[in-house]
Amino acid sequence: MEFFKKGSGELVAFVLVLPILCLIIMFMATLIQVTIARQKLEYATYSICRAAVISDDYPTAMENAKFVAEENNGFNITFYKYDGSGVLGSSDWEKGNYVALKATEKIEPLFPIFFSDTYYSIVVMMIE
Amino acid sequence: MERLKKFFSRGGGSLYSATITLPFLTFILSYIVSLVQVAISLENLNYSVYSICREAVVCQSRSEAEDVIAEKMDEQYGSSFDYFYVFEEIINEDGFAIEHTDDGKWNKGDFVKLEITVFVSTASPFNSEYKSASIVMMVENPA
Repeated sequence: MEFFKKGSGELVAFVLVLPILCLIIMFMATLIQVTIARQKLEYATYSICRAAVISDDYPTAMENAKFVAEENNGFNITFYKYDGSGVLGSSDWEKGNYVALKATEKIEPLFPIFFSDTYYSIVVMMIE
Repeated sequence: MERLKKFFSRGGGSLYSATITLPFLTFILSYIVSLVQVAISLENLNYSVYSICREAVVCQSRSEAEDVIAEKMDEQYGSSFDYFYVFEEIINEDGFAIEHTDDGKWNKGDFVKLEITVFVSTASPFNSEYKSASIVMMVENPA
């Protein structure tokens, strides 16, 4: 009994510190989750936009982009005009024009207090 | 001798508690290191799956794409890693793309999915497992 008594102070301190250590680990895991999810979003945005810009016409492009977005992770996508004057329409779909694609995703990480948010990625490409 | 015994007995309590808590601290430290290892591995995996699939979708035929994937996988992971991959065609049953994929040929407008799975060995046995990354792309070959 004497043996355990000698180190009990430090042991109690460690038990008290343990929840904070767990929180730090959760925080680190959350950072990693968000980083990986955002990286995946970036690559998916590129793939989605490529699928659109090489399509022959506007409806085909939208269909292709939606399908790739759905299959990748169910991202929400919106095509904008490159000059920022609004959402892209069928009349803007012409070879040589630029489009901006914004893909968004709601990320729910392990530590949701600061990081649970809708993240987005934007890519600009020329219609081929 | 008596003085030496007294000297060591002063820090005895801390020594006992350190001995008890050391395994937990070691476990926590190894877990933190393993988290970083997993993060780096997943980043590499995401990049690999993207770049390899990108090289595949610009190929002229499906067999050429499969050769490119096999070559790139061997180049990147070789015999050092325990890995496998799945390269498959995805059919868009709701849309027009079914017209392309039904004929079984490799055409522009087909959709393919590449999934790479690699065993990630880390400092913590609890985080050492198979990790995978996948991506869906559209075939760009203008056939």
